Amino acid sequence: MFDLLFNGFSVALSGTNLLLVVVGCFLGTVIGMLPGIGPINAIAILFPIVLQFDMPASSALIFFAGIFYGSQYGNSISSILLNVPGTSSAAVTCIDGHPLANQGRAGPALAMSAVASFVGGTISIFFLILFAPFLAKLAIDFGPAEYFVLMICAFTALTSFSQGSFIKAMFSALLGLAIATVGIDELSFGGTKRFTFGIRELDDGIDFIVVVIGVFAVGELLLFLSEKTNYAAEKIIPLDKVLLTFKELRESIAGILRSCVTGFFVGVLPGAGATIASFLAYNTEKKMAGDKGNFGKGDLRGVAAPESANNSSAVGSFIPLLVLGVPGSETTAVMLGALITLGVRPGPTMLVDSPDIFWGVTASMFIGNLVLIVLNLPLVRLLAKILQIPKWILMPLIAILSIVGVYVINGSEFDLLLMLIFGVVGFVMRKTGFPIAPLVLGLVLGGLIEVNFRRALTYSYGDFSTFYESPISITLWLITFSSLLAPVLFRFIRRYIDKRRLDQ
Amino acid sequence: MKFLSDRKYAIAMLVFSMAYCYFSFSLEADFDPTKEKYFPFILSVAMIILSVLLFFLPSQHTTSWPKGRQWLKIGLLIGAIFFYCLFLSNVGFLISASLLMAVCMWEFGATRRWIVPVSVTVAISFYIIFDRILGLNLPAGILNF
Repeated sequence: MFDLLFNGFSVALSGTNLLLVVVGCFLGTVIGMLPGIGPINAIAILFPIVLQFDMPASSALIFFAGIFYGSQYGNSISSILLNVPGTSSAAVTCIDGHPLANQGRAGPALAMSAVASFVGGTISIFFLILFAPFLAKLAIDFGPAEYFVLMICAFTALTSFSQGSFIKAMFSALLGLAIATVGIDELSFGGTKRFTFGIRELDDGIDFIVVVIGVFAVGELLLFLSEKTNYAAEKIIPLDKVLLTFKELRESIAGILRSCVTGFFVGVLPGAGATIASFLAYNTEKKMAGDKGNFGKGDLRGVAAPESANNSSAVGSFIPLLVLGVPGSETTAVMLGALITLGVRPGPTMLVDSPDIFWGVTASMFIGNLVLIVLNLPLVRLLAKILQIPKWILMPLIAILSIVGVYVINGSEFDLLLMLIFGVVGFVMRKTGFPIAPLVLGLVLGGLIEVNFRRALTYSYGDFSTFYESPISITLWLITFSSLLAPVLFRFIRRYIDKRRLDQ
Repeated sequence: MKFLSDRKYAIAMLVFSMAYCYFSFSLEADFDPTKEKYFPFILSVAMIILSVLLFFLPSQHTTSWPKGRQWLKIGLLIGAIFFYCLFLSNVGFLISASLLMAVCMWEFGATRRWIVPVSVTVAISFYIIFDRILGLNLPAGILNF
């Protein structure tokens, strides 16, 4: 294992890759910090441009991973200074982070956030190294039938964890799958065209990145116009020294470590992700502190816990992506789509066949976390100035950047029109309460899910029992059904507890 | 039976799913699980079931649609991107992008005197970065130099 990791470092430390880690982490911090744009927008907008450079898949993934975990560092900066989370996974950080800033302790809060992110992010890489090869061994026997069931499992988990109506979330996932069926069917003899309606541009299918940029970048632009009325720069709280005392660090280190473990395992679960991880970690620490804590009014431990958890959960989410090839969140779904476009199919065999990808990315995370602690501790005062860029320049810039990105994929105006249509679709979906994440997952997995479904049935001569024959598929079905029941059960238990409390 | 917003969406979903079902069924292939017709058809049936389910089990979600002036702003941005698509190859990136940038900036409430200089500078710098430095082809259009 150590020689593999050593090889990984030789991949990650090569000239271009080192540069990509640094740039990715910097971009990630900035994008995480700016409310309204998250890592998914950044990865989607930059992917067409990355594609033009013919870089190897490992380099592209190192870059995107840097943006992803980097954003988990940056997102707390705006939580603390503006009381607006940079991405949803830093929403909990606002609860204690902003009161601290109001008390004139923005510096220690930022320092704590950076340190917790660093500890959580780094320790979880060791978990990744330990668990990934183990899980890959389990998954190596997966056939098409098992893969099909595994993807169903990922879908159910993601939809049952998403907020709002489960039916709407499920429909959104199926819509994604339906969009993926457009174009020439590669499995059929001669290649039947499906749902192209004679439009030649649709023959190759709808490029997932066009949909993602449309739904996220354009959709959010429209949403922004419909909701916010003040686009001026926000006022940020002036910073004092960004330093922690040894006592403050000692008080929170246990919480950081606990949150790191929670975060990692929540990150591994499909559907749960960094937002839920940070909530869980915060609530645990709050309960453990009891009356002794100052939680909710400005406690450094309330900043440390969610920041450690969301960083380690970002690392954890690479397990389903790289080991199983089935992403558990929208951002990792876009990364999977990117890898497939670059000709790599993540899965248990990838660890053996092309170890440079997995180990290169893992090694680059160590380097990335070092870069990020430098960016977020000594340089945070400079970075925070970015928050003062007014929205009226930032939003139009994002619009132009995404439009350039979509155009360079195929150099076609048709893609731009599609992007616009999906932008409107994304806007309407957000307004009407249909979650977007299942749509993205459906879109990226659509091709694979159909191929595995049809292949499994070809091998079994049309016998559907192939989907519930092996112990692996039975286990996966059990997980699927329990993830369907889990939210219902949680709601039931909570109602029961509330009732008990009222009765007393 | 109160007519919740979810019920309206359920009807829209049903219409879409029925259309998808119709087109998948009219594909010329055998109705065999391993053929190209089966999977979309199953999808459409599942979508129809979900639409019906949502109609009878709506959530309490209420949509807050934008008001008059905001609709105008949204429409204007959609229109601006649409015209950008139409103009891009004929008129060229520099002019189309400056126009789009200007409309966007105006919509996001930029100070008047900044709009023209900033949007032209942004368009030119994007053109230089992407077309000249990174070698991604952006249409030059009528300003061919």
